[in-house]
Amino acid sequence: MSANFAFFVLPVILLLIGLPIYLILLVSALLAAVFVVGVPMTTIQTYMFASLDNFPLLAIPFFLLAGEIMGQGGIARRLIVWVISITGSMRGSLAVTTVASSELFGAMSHTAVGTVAAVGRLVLPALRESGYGDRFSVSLIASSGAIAVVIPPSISMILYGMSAQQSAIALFTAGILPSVLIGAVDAAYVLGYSRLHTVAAAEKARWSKIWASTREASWALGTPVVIFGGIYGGIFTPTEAAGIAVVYSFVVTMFIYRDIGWAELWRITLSAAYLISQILIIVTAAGIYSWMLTTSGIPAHIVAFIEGLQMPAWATLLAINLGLLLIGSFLEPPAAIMILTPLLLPIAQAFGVDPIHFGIIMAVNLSIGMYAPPFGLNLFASQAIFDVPLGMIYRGVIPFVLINFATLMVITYVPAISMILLR
Amino acid sequence: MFTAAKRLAQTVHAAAAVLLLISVAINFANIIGRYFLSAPIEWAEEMMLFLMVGCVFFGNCVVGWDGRQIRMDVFVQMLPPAVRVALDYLSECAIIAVSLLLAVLAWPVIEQLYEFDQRSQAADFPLVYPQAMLPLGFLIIAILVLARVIGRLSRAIEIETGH
Repeated sequence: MSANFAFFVLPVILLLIGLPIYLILLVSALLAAVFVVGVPMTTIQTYMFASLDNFPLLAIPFFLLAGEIMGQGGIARRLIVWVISITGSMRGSLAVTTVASSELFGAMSHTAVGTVAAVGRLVLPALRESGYGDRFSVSLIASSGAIAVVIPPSISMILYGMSAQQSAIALFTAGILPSVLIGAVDAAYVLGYSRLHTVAAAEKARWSKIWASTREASWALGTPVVIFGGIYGGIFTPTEAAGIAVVYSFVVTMFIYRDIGWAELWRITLSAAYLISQILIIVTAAGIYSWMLTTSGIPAHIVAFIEGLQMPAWATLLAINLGLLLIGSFLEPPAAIMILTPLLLPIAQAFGVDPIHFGIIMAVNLSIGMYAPPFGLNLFASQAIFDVPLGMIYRGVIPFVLINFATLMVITYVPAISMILLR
Repeated sequence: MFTAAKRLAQTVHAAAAVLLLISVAINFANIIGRYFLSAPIEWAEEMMLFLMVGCVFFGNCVVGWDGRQIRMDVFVQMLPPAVRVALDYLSECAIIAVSLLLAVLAWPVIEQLYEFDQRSQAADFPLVYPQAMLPLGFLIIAILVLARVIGRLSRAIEIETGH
């Protein structure tokens, strides 16, 4: 059996026939262990265990649990209502609010689909009332929700950091300006759209309303302070910050807002354990797949082959971006990062790209894949949640895919946007 | 059999959630110890990792029971219903076969860990327990998926024969 068959052809066939992704990686790794690399089969258990036995990974279950408590309790709702209340009467402000709410909630929930559901349910009725059509509104929500993949502290960056052996905090810091840039570009686009389509201006913001929503959301607003202040203030590690976020959101939701009871908390914990398993089982399987891949020497051969093509660095990066965009529309970011980082990072490094910068490029690119037609997961989630035809969303997201791809190009070719805060 | 399998799935789901909650409690206690009492819990990180391993492998059994693993099924959805059903069975058989194989492959490692009483560095915890979560998880998922396949097959036969 050839290495190419075990590592690439077979996984693609199994992917197309709908096998679970973790199983595909395991089958491929097992066959490679026997026929390509020739390692003793007993090492499989040890390496699988080692894939999870990684301290930075601990932040993922805690962030996911905190996100579930915030989303299913009342913290997310209060934060979004607060953002809506502070936006002025400017034409297009409601659409900008959708972008801002997604950035804020995405930073805490860490799941793109969760952000689409939480933000979308609250803002879609208001967007419709203001005269935005369903095509624009649902597409805006679907594309804005994908920011959760990029905005720190993101799970994609934790996984990339683990796979590329880079600091998660450095990746979080590098991800700040690109996230702001994506938000700003999206906001500029939706403002332009609103003016062009003469959408009605929103109700004028009143101090009394702002004060009331701020008071109502004051404890909820403490959540980002705890997460970001803890990590960037150098007080907590990401894992500790994630753990504190769980305890904080639990106390605020249960004892201050009293939105949920013990039974509901148990249901949320069950739901979080489910979500954690769905994601981390892929990490476990991808760990052993990556180990086999690296041991086989394939990444080094690919680097040598691409260097032999003597393409300029910009063309190689463009090819990587286009390939990632295609793969990202099929695969969820955690799987794509765990599978592709060992393959693509050596290529990027051979062309002088900093590993931290490359992590940001991957995260931004895969976030676009979340809503890129025809298979982006946010598209299907939006269709299911908001009950609108998929074809309508396909047409609506095209402008968002194009402008965000343009932003990705800027982030790719201007490394300073990612790296300046690290200096 | 279906009811027993359902109970097993509910039990492992609850176990995964409990392990997650214990992990949150250890993390919080460690933060209090580290920042307020200048006495961090030395074994906290190790134990949290072990608990996460358990949470993932027990949780995966329930995900497998529900058939909700992350997969790319867009192309499969375009196929005729009969082909979809056949591919579903193929996928389930593959889960059972690979899970059983991995459980068997893990056995010598588990035996060795038990025999030599190998322990973790900080917590001095017997490594056989966290390591055994993997084959145990694989074994349970194989049983649950098998129960689901048998349940589906018997329902299909009942419909076919009209009983």
